Amino acid sequence: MIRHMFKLIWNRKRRNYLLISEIFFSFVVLFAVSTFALFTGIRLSEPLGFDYEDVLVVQTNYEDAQQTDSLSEREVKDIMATMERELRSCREVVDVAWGSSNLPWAGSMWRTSYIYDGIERDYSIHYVSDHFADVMTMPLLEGRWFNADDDAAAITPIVINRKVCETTFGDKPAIGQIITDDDDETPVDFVVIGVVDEYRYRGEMEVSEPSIFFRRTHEDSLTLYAGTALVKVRPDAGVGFQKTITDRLAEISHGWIIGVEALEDARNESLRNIKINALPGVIVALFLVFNVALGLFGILWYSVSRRRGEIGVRRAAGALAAHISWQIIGEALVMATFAILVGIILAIQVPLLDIQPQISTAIYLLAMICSSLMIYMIVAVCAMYPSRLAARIQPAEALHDE
Amino acid sequence: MIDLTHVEKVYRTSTIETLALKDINLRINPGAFLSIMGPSGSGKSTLLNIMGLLDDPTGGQVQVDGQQIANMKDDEMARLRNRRIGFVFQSYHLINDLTVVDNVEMPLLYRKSTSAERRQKALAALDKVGLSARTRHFPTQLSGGQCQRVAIARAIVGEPQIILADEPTGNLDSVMSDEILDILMNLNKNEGTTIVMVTHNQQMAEKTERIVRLCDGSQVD
Ligand SMILES: Nc1ncnc2c1ncn2[C@@H]1O[C@H](COP(=O)(O)OP(=O)(O)O)[C@@H](O)[C@H]1O
Ligand SMILES: [Mg+2]
Repeated sequence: MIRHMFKLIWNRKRRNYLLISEIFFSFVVLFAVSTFALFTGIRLSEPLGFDYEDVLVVQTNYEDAQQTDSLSEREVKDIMATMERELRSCREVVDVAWGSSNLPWAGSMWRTSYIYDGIERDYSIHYVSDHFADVMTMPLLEGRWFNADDDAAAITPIVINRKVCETTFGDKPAIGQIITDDDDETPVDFVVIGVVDEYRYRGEMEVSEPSIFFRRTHEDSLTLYAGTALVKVRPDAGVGFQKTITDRLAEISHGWIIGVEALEDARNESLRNIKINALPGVIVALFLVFNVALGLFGILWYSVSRRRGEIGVRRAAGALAAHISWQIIGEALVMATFAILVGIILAIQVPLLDIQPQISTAIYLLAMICSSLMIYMIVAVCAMYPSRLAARIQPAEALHDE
Repeated sequence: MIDLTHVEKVYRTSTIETLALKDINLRINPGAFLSIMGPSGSGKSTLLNIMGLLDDPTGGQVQVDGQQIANMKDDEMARLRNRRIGFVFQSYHLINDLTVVDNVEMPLLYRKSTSAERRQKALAALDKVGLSARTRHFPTQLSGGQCQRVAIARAIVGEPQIILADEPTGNLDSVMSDEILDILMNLNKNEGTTIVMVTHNQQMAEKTERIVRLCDGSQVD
């Protein structure tokens, strides 16, 4: 029976061409949408590597203040140290750390290439202070985070994330490895002292990238461009506390522009933007698929009315009503199969040509399976009513028509 | 074999009521070859459809193979048609998207059979109607006479005891008509198939054992 249906569809391929290409088109759209959805879903479910709850981001933009020119480097460093002391003195504050401007959801990146084993690779760079891992709740996989001992370090210590181990060191133990910056005339070495798991600072929508942390203290010159404080507060701190900090720090710094935002709010806003951006795509996809479903329904309905004679003669030859309705559904599924086969041939090119290296082959395969199943479901649903009509055709009447 | 007693058929639509058959009493014995004649609209097709379980009478009784069909379910009647009855129509009703041999195999799809069995039986049936050389053609590539022979092959592929032919030569010239009649007569003689044929052609009807004449839904002889 299935072969019979394949023969029928194959011999009618010229008439079914339009329908099959419409189904094919829907498959492609569904494939794109489900690839994106799966990729997003997996990214959303994977850990960020840090905790954003109860963390305030405090921008201290001394550069914007009028007195910039009049402050010496010494004075800037002192103001920052004073600010930290002031923050720590608050009952609501648990811990304070400092970081460069490319903090989570800040929308800024800082990438540099360094050399390991003669090969130059890109890394994301983060200047952070000794309490950063505590404030962000980042557990160490190996080694240790920065501390006061590093003041006397002979080689600049760095902490890396697991992605660096994978891209750079392979199977070799990470601790003690040396990475070199040879941009300047005299190359500078960095030694790995610790490994954290993940650090997806650009948020859930971005994949993990190799990140390197450098140590920043109030005393080194990096302070000048790593002036954002991260403040871990108690869960009961409340929104009013943000205002309190803003006012107090402004007072201490004599007019620096202080911006305070909860890290969680920054995250929510970024997710909201992603949803707003994805919405038109999803609506267009739904609209297309709905249109195809409607077209499919119409064509199947029309073909049943055109094939009354054929259905009558099948009934006369002993086909049960159930045979007829299964034939209509089966033929629609066979057409879907042709369309899906062509669609898969096209879809398989995407992982083969590695068009989007971030997306793994498994996601593409899963998306192919999902979109195939969805197509089969849509087609079966569209064929349901026409198949019932077909099954209800009375053979005596159908054969009388001619 | 087929037994009709006081059969009546009324077609009702919202506006009119047509009495297509009234008080038909007919007994067709196994191995008979019977013609039905009558003017257009006299109820010949209706009678054939009722004999072939394609339509229910609105009165009277129909027995096929000693079975009352009054209480039969739709599916039971379909199975009975599949095993016992072959149909031939004036306009052939072949499926144009299937090859000749696939058309002939069609009735066997609705009973237990393997594809090899179906193929072998279809080829044998096509051989009986003299179309062995055309099995891979499509119906649109055949003449009217050849199409009707394919339709006969389809009707006999399931080895039914009864063939019901509704004006099988109505679209054919006299040479092709004679060929078709020969095939039917051979089936009747050699295989003992019961044949009921509707025809307008007096000469053809006279070659059969018995003629039933209808006029306005009634038997007139
Ligand atoms: N499905 C139907 N609905 C209403 N009237 C019908 C139907 N089929 C046949 N008739 C009517 O029944 C009568 C007999 O028709 P039919 O059996 O086709 O005649 P014949 O085959 O002798 O030309 C005609 O008057 C026809 O109009
Ligand atoms: Mg008729």
